[in-house]
Amino acid sequence: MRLNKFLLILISLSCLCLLTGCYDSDGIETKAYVIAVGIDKGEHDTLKLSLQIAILSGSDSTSGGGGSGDSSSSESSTVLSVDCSSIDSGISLINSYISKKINLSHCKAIIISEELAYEGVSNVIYSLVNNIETRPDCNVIISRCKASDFLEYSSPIFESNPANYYELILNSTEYSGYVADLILADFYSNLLSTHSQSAAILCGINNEQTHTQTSSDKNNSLDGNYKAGQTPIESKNNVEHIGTAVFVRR
Amino acid sequence: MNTVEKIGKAEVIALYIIIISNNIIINIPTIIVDFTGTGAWLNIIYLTLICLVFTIIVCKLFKPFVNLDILDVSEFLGGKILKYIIAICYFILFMVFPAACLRYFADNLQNIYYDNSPLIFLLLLFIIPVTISSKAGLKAISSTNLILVPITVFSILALFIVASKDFVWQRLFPVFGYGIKETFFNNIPNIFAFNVVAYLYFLKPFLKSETYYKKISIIAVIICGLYLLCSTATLLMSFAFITQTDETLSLYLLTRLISLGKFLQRVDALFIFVWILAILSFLSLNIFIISHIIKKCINVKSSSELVFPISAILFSTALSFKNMASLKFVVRNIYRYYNCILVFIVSFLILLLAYMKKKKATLTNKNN
Repeated sequence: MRLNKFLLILISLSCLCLLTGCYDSDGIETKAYVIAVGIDKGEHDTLKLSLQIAILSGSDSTSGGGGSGDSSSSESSTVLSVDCSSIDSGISLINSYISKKINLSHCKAIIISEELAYEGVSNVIYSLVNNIETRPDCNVIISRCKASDFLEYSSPIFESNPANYYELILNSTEYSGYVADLILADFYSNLLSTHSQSAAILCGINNEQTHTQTSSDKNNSLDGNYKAGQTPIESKNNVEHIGTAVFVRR
Repeated sequence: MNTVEKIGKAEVIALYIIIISNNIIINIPTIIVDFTGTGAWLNIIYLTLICLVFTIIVCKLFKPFVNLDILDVSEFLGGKILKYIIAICYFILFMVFPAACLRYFADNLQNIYYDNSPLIFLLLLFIIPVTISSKAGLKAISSTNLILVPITVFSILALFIVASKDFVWQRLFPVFGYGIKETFFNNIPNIFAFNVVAYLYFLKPFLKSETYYKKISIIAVIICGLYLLCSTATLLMSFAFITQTDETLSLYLLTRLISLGKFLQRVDALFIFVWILAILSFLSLNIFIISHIIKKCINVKSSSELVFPISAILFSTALSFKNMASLKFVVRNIYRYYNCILVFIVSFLILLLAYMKKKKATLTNKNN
């Protein structure tokens, strides 16, 4: 009986020492949290992957370089872009470039450029859905401009936290009717479905140049006819979400 | 430790519920969906009815064998040789499935949260507490389990209810999935999901009173059927793509859909924590049953000393799967049929023949 007690204490003490070690500890200081993923058609390779990464307060996460596009969107985030053959290889390339490990578990938006969307997005979506870190409730957005440009220009005016920005920017789905809340799970489900089509939120950069396109189009007599980027709004925040991109199966 | 520990009605039902919950956590509904497509929920209803009838017959056949389990019945029918054969078969059954569950869960845990930790550490995190609790005996396991069951059941039911906002009921169609033949005939081996029946064969001598054995068995099968029906229907209505993306715990995929307002999001860790407790309880029960089987075969007085080697074998078996693909192959293509043959055919035949032998012996005694 005494031997059993001794063994039990020995096992418990061993557990304390062996199983609570910190050599494999994994805290937020070791991770680079991606807020939004941008996917464009690559210039030198198949894809151009852009990641908007949150800079945590008190973090020195700029260490490791700023990538091709630096933090012009906001001081609380930075955008890194890389030409790659697939999303996974792109993430690996960026992982080798920065000091922290890329983590997609807080990704709120997946932005795909219109140019790439016309060529088909199934491969991109399969990669993202099969990634254990990607949340099925993140929004799928089709950008009329380049996805990397969209990430660069999506600067929050009212929000200091960029993750909050992506969460709140689509809140207008609840009261405006110009945007639908379309998430990755539904997008993928509809992609495989034989009786429904995938749809994504349409977005674009809104500036004077895109306004002139609107004025020449005489059919746009109703407010509801504006496409993303065409609404005649003058603002510092020149990214706009309006309308829906619907995919057709070929 | 010489006397058999007896447990009450609530404790036995709680043990059955933890086995069923574990089946759901470990993706058995997804395997059923894989084989039967959208006909999975109809297949479950059909199998529940078959299993219910089967259980009622088993209870009837078991009635003359007071305080005996399937090993004693085998001995009665075919002597020690048959007893040893059946013991080895059940040893494999109770060893391989929990080992597969342990490995599957630990692997998923590593993928989801602990990508820097070695798998062996994660396995030890389960094996050590399970060994200690199994050593404490059935009474301790069942009493702890009684506390865990409401939490586990609540977590799974809450998950179904919260996920219901994403349900698309049209995804349940076509009701016959891959066809009537696939739903009702070719996939009868899906009855392996009712593996709770295997435990019914062994827990009989541990009941405080055998009068409610039949009632408990029927309740266990009904709960198992309802649970499986809820989970398959939920998975079908939530993910049209579940069969294509099944690399992870499907319930975990479901938890990731949960977001109650802005403040209650990413609650998956909470669910994983509850499921870890459920798996610990399930593994403890299995180790206890295996030690009970071995004890009966080698005639040792106490089964508690067998817990250490059994835990070591369980640990090694869990590590012996080369990867998730081989584990899936074992569960889908070997365990699925092995369970059906052993639990629903071989054991049933033994019970039936033993029942006839017993009847014949009783009649002969009466005549004499």
